[in-house]
Amino acid sequence: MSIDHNTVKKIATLAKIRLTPEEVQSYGQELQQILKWIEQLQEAKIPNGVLPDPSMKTELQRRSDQVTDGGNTDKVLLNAPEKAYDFFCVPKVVE
Amino acid sequence: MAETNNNLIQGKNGLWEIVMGLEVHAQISSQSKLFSGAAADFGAEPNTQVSLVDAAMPGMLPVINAFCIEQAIKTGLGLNATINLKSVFDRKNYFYPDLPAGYQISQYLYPIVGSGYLTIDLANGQSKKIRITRLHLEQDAGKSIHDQHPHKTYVDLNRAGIALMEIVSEPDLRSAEEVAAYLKKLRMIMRYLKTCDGNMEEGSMRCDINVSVRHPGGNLGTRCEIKNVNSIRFAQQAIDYEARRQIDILENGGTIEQETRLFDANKGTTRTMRSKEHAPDYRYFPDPDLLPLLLKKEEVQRLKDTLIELPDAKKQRLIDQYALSAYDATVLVSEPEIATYYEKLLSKKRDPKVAANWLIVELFGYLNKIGKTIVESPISPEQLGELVDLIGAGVLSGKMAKDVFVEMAETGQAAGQIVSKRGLQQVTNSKEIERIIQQVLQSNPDKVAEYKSGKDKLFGFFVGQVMKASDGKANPALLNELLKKALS
Amino acid sequence: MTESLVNLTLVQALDGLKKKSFSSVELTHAYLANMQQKRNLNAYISETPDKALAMAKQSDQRRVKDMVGLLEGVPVAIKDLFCTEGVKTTAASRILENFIPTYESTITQNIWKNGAVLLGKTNLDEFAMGSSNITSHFGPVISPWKHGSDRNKKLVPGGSSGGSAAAVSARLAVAATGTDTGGSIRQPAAFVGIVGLKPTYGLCSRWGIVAFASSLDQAGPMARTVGDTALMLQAMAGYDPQDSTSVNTQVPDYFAALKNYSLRGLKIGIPKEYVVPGMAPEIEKLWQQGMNWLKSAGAEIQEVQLPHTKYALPTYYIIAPAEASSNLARYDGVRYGLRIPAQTLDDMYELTRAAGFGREVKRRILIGTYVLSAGYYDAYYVKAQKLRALILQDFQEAYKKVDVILTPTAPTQAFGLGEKMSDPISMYLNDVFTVPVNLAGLPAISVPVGLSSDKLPLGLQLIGKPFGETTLLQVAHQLEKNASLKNDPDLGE
Repeated sequence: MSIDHNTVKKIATLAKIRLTPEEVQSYGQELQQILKWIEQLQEAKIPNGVLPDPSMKTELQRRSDQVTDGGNTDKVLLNAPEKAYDFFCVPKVVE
Repeated sequence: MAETNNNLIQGKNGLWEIVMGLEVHAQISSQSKLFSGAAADFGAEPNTQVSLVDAAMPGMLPVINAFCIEQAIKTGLGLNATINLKSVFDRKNYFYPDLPAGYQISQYLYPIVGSGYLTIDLANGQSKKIRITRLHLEQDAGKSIHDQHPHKTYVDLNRAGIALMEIVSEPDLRSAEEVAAYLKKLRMIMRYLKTCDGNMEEGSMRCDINVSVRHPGGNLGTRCEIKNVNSIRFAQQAIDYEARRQIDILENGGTIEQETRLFDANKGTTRTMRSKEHAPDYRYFPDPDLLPLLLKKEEVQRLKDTLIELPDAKKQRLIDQYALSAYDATVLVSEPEIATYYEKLLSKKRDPKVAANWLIVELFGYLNKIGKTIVESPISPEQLGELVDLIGAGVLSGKMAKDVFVEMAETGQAAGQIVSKRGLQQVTNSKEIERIIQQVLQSNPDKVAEYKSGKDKLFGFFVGQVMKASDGKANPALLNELLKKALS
Repeated sequence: MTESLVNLTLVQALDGLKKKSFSSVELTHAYLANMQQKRNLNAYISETPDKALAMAKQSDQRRVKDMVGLLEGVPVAIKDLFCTEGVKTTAASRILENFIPTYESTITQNIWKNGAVLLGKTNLDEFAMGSSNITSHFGPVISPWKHGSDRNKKLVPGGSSGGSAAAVSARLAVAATGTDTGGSIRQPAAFVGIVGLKPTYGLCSRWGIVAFASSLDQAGPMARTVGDTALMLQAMAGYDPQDSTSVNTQVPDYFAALKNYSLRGLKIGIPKEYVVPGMAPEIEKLWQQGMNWLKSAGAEIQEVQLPHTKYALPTYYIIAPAEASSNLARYDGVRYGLRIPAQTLDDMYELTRAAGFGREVKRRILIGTYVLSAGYYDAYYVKAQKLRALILQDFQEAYKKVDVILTPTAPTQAFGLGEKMSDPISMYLNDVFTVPVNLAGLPAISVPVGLSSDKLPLGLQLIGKPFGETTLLQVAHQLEKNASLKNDPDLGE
């Protein structure tokens, strides 16, 4: 498995992390190394019928349909880096 | 089931067929959101219906709303679909300001509802089965407002986390009319089940349309997905435009690029949103905060047992049980509230046809005039029933009843009240009518002689005279009978 | 007086408070003074002395009224991954540098309900990603222990709960909370000579804990003795309807179970796969010592097979980063945390996350994004999940034969600050004995049982059946009695 710089850039874009050209280089090497190490999984024999299931087999808990939350606009917005008129603000999105 | 050729579009070099499949996002009617306890109401002040879970604060966890699960199952049952006893919630990862967690919780590989179908009714009287591929549960995103500030987008998370059902159809739809019929039928079913109010203006039902064109019988063409169509009228516009656009490209030797397009409601056109190459990589994987959703057979059966009668079945029953015409039955089941009104009307033994007529012609006509819906009707089923009873008992003639009806609607008074107040009762007393008949015959001896000599036409003259003398209140049937006897 | 107060175990401190030998305020003062003295360890990100004294005062008032919780009046430290209402919670990341939660995590709520006092929020690897506490935005934590032959060498306390470990070991808190995703409670506990317990997945609520890898994360106690650990766990554990993965089960009286128990006939499994290359010989020796102690106590030692053990680390380093890449998407500069202003939305996102996350966190987000991306998902993520199922199966098979599994906690003693930095994998290898437990969702405890020739603590790990915490604590208690260590870094013994 080889990771070229374009792949590193593509992943970084997906993950929304800006990388400098040097970082593309260095992360590329590290990812390459880690993925090579992870490659050892490919040799593992997996019998048919093994399901990729989470380990715990308990039942999914459900809650009843009641309004128990909300009305806390101040709390919701307390840590907002930028807000106006009870909205969160971000740089304008051009569609 | 036959497909008529009306759907085909004449092109430069032959006929074209439109092939469409729909993805409908229907907001589940519930008090609270899918994974949080914040309210799911429409139109609240910004960020007032937001829990810490909806705002994706660090360490917040989703807990599923049991009622939303039931709503999805009921809708699935209403669509004649398989209910999957195991389904899985996945994360669909992408960044957007109104998607707080950076992922939407949805169901990707294992939806709660599998394949089913619904039947659409077309204007030509035919019906057609449209196959449903799947129905899955997912969260809605918040709302981004781009037009309030020159450089900023404002984000309101009230809608973030509200429960949606995404209902996907097979590419079985062939015309804008079929799409409209599909949307209406789907909405009707969900309204009957009370699983979605189907209010497209408030965004509680939105749809994406996959459109492709081909020559009839040919291979499926490349499709384009039209996003965010939020009315039935817009759907028709979007389809007309998109089909024409694709046909023009193909007829000019071009090829269709698979892409996502956005409908522009102002222009009635569609435009490129993103091409297939730029399709986002959503990195779906099972949400580790939620275990697989396991349903018990008994749980599904219980919902099945309590499922109310759906429009198709109800329509058939109205036809079978009351000998109504297909047209009347279709109108009566078109909205659950109308059907309920009608069935209340028939909760006392009444002539089903007369009752249907009064509902469909008089009440709808009146409601239409004053711009109200059946739920807001000033005349209750009990009140309308009383009127129908008065007609049935011969107390009111049809013409008199119409006057009474208008007064009922305007004053809210009961029919019987109006009748006695205005002395509108029909004269059904034979002695009284005989008395008037004798009066009329005695004042017109020459006409009586003419009638007896064979001038049958004069019978109408006598009826008119008697009616006039009774102020129009004489029961017509009785009058006829007694008059004949008197003249014989 | 002050010094002796901080040397009391939790059980002893409770006894002293009960006998009115000292008040919670006095005990808290003693800890606050010690914290001030040992700031060089960098164990705390935030100290909360005012809050601590206020809480201590309230506790003393409750004591008068005889309203006494399980941890009444005891000053504890909280890993800075638990959200605490009104108290800055950073996850040791620049991206949450100034984040003040408006809510309190379920675990800390449980602890306060039981009368404990908050001393402060402890340092950790950024977002709990690390095994040495060097990835913290607020600088590394220094172990209170000194290397026997190089007293000036700075040692790591392990990670990611390194601040909590150092604080408990150095007497800067009676006990502390940690979280364990791949060994983050047990490995640092072993490195600093304290007890650390990772409960069964679902025993302790995750609500209000900054998530790293949701299917692996589990909160647990860190304390100086097995008894203290039992009390802490009892205060922390319990069903939480706000966490869908929380298990609705009765919490037993862990502490009472230590008063009277017998290990006679208990079957202890020894997995031969845990003999790995690079393991220090003295650790192997200590492992043998542990077996002998348990045998003398009446337990039976038996070999077990855990054949998929060798795949555990690579499996973990697919699943944990995959979940983390998604869990950390919420740190986007929109609703809270750091924002680097920019003209466009994408610039804002990318610059904020580039500046807000440290190198190890970014590396794991990138790996996680990669293994989930189109075309690689089946080869990596699905394969890893299947191996995870097989690793769990291994344990299930083993538990048909034995009750508890005994292993070392880590393959080495604590290493020096700056060591194992050359490549990420050598650091990852430190988790080789702890990671399988998280993948299988099982409970495990690390108990200090000896010192290395360098005079550094070494720990053994006991792995239990699901919800077998009581047995784990009992066996650990036996080992603790046999080892009879002082576990005091100042004494070096």
